[in-house]
Amino acid sequence: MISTKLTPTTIPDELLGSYETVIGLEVHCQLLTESKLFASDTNRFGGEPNTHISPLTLALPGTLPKLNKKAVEYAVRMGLACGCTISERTIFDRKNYFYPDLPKGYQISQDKAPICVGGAVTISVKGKDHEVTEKTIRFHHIHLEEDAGKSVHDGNQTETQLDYNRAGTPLIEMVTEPDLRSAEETGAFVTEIRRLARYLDVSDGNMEEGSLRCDVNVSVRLAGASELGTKVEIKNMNSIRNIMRAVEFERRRQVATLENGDSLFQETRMFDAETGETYGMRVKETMNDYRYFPDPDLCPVVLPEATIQEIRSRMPALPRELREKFVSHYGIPAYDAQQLTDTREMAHYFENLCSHTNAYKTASNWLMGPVKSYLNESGTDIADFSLTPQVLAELITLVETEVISHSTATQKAFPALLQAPDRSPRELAETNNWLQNRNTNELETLVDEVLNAMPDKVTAYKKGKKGLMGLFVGEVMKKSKGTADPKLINQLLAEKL
Amino acid sequence: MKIDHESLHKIAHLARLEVKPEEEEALLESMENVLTWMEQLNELDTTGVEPLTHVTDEVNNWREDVAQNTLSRAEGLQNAPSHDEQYLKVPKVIE
Repeated sequence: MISTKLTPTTIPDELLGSYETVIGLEVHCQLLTESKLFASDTNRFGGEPNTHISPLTLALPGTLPKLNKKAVEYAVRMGLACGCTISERTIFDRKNYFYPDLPKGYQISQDKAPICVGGAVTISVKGKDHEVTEKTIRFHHIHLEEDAGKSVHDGNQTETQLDYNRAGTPLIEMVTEPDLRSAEETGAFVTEIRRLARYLDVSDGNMEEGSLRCDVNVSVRLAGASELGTKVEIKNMNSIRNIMRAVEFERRRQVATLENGDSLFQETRMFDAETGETYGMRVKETMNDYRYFPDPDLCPVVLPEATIQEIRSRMPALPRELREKFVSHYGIPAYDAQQLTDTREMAHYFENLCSHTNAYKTASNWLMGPVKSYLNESGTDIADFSLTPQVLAELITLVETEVISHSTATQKAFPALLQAPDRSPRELAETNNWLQNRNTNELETLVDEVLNAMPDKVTAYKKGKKGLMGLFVGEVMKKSKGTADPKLINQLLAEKL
Repeated sequence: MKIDHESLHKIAHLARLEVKPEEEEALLESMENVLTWMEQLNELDTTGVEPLTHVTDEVNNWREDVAQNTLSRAEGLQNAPSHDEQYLKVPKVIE
C-alpha cells in the first residue's frame, strides 16, 4: 500500500474546515520612557553597543532597583484603554533563569499581582461573505517587566557578544485569552494593539525594531469540541504578515499531523520567514522552573482611584472615541471615520482641517483621495505632510465657493501647492489664471460660437442624441482655455438648445 | 522532609552548580535539615492571612523618568572576564 501522508500544503480545504483553530497571544510592547524600568540609563533603540548601561543594568553588587513612575503610568494607560481592572496594589516578582543577556540571573516581572487584570479590545474582521463583523478579544492580564539584553552570535565561532543597551528597558506584556480563531483575526488584533499603543503614546509600535513582538500560541480542535487541543508556542514574531503566515502554516501542520494519526506535543517552535514554515527547536526542552517570588528590593505599588482618574484625565482620545465623534459631530460616514482614525496623526489633521472649514465631508474626501494618494506615492506620512490644514482648508473653500473648479483644484492647484506649500491657494489660482470664468456674457458668446460651428450636431441633439451635450461642454471649455465654470456652461447650453 | 537524588540534581542544575558525587550525601543531609526546620512553620494555621510579600509598609518608592548615563562603556566593560572595545563576551551560547 502506498502511504499518502497529508502535509500542510496538500491538506484539503474541507478537512481543514472540520477543525477550529484557537489562538492566544502574548504581546510584548516596549514603553516609550526616557529611562529604563528600574535605572536611569537611556531607553532608546540602537546606539553604540553597551553605551546605555549602569551599575544596575550590569547587575553589579550592591545596586538596588528604583521603579520608573512613567512606566507605571503607561501600563495603566494601556490598561484603561483596554477596559482592564487596574490593580490597587501590585508587586514585582523575580523570574529566575540563567542566560547571559540577563546579568542578574533573574528578570523582574510580575506574576501573582499584575498591574492590569481582564479587559478586552474589539476588532473588525472580514468574514467569508466579505461582511465586516466585530469581535471582542479578552485579556487575561497585562503586566510590567524588564527586557533582556541582546546576544550577538554571528562572526565569532567560540564566543557570544553581549550588548546590554536593551537590558532593563520597560515592557508591558499583554496576555490574551484564547479568543482568536484565524490568521486574519490575529492580524487584525495585533494591528489594533499597535494602533492603541501609538495613539496612547506608550510605544512607537515599531515591529522591525522589536518594539512590538509576539509569542503566538496555536492549537486546533475538531469543530464543536469543548476541550482545547495541544498548543504550540511560536516565539518572537515581529511582523504582522509573518504572524499571520505562521498561524496559517501551523494550523495546517497540526491538522495534517492529527489526520495522519500522529499526535502533537506541546513545544516551542520558530517561524522561518524564508520558507513560511515553523520548525521545532532542536534543543531538548526541559520544563521551565522559574521559581517566581516577590522581589524584596522593590516595594509594592499602590494606585488609589484618584491616581487612576488623574492618569485617565491625561489620556489622549482613543481611536474608537474619535471614530464616534467623527460620525456624530462631523457627520461623515462610518467608513470614512474608520479610515481617518487609522493613525492619530491623520485623525488630528482631519480635526484641524475641520476647524478651518465647515465642509466636513469634502475635507474627508480630500484626505482620503488626493492627500492619501500623494502620501502613498511619495512614501511619506501625514506627520511630514507639507501643506498645513489652513492652506488645504483654503483650497477646499475655493472649490466650495466655486472660485476654482474641483478638477483644477486636484489636478493643478494641489500639486502646485505641494511644490510651494507657503503660497496662498487664492493667490496661486489668480496668478495662474485658474479662476473659473463665471462671466455669463463672455460664456454666452463662446456657447453661441460653438453651437453655430456645428449645426448638424445641434440638429442631432434636438432629435434626441442627448449624449452630444458632453461634446458641446468640452468645446466651450476648450475655447475658454479651461477656465469656464462647467455648471454655468451646462446651464447656458440647456437654455440655448 | 526527605529529598531524593533527582531533586538534588534538579536544584543543582537550576542554580548551575556542579555537584561531585562524593558531596551528594552531605548536601542531602544539610538540605533535609533546613527543610525539616522550616516545616515547623506548617504547623501554623494561616487561613485568612494575606501572604507577607514585603516586610515594611513602604509603598510607591518610585522615581521620575529622567535619563542619565552614569557609567561609561569602558568602565562598564573593564571588570568583565572577557570583552573587546564594544562587547562583553561569554562562551558561545546556542539557542
